[in-house]
Amino acid sequence: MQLRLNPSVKDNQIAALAALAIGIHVLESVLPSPLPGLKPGFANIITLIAFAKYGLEAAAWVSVLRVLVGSLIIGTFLSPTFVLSLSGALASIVVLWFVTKIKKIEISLFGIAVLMAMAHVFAQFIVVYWFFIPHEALINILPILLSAAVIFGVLNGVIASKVYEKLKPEC
Amino acid sequence: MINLTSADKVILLMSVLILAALYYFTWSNGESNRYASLYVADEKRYIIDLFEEKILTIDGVQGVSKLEVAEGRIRFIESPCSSHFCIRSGWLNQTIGLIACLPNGINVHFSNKNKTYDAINF
Repeated sequence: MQLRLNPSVKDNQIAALAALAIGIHVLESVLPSPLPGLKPGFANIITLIAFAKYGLEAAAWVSVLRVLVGSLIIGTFLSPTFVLSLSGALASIVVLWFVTKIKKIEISLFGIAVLMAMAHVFAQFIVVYWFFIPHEALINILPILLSAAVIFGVLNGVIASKVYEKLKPEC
Repeated sequence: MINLTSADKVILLMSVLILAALYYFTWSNGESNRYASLYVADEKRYIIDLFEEKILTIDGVQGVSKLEVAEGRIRFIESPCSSHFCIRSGWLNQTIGLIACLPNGINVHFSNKNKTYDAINF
């Protein structure tokens, strides 16, 4: 028996974006980090672009696929690293969902990027505190991680906006 | 440059404000570590206000230990033990969260801490 899958055009587009995100995710994982948990999160640019071009569902697919396949490639599947990646990704999807619900206020990709980066850090911090390191001194690291989140959120927002502008004529 | 909507500016401002507040609450020596608990032979418990400057004289298992309390900190300054690890470990701090003189049966830690694990590893 042969299983036939008929991928739609949208499936292919999501797969292409997810592949890009996975590539960035894997490349990023070899970057040295001065502090555990500090990461530029450039793979989120792809999630942002998926959101801008194809909407929330596509962004969620790209995000979750990135975490899943990325972890399989790096070899961290189901490890604490994976749990943290997943919690961050889910939190940022929740943020995206909120953004789609708020129709009155116009938030550009820039603002969304900052919100998503902060959601990532907050979710990961809560997970680390609850499951891995329930030590009060841990909260001292939160402002530093959050500063990095704001800085990289701004950077990713600018990059995503620029890239999206260039992509626009094709849409 | 890119065009920021007013919502973007509000988000950016809010995040900077949250950061400032977080730095203030976590990095300034706040009230969170105002009290320390001192146990003698795991039985007697004292609550010590760290912002009340004094020299504590505690009767331990071996003899009398003296502890100095100053500016929200506490340390051993005298103990009857031979190794004096308690004195050498210095002020009680967040990283280790405990100073103790085991021969004399005295240990001190921040009292707002719940007794949980330091870290869990898989």
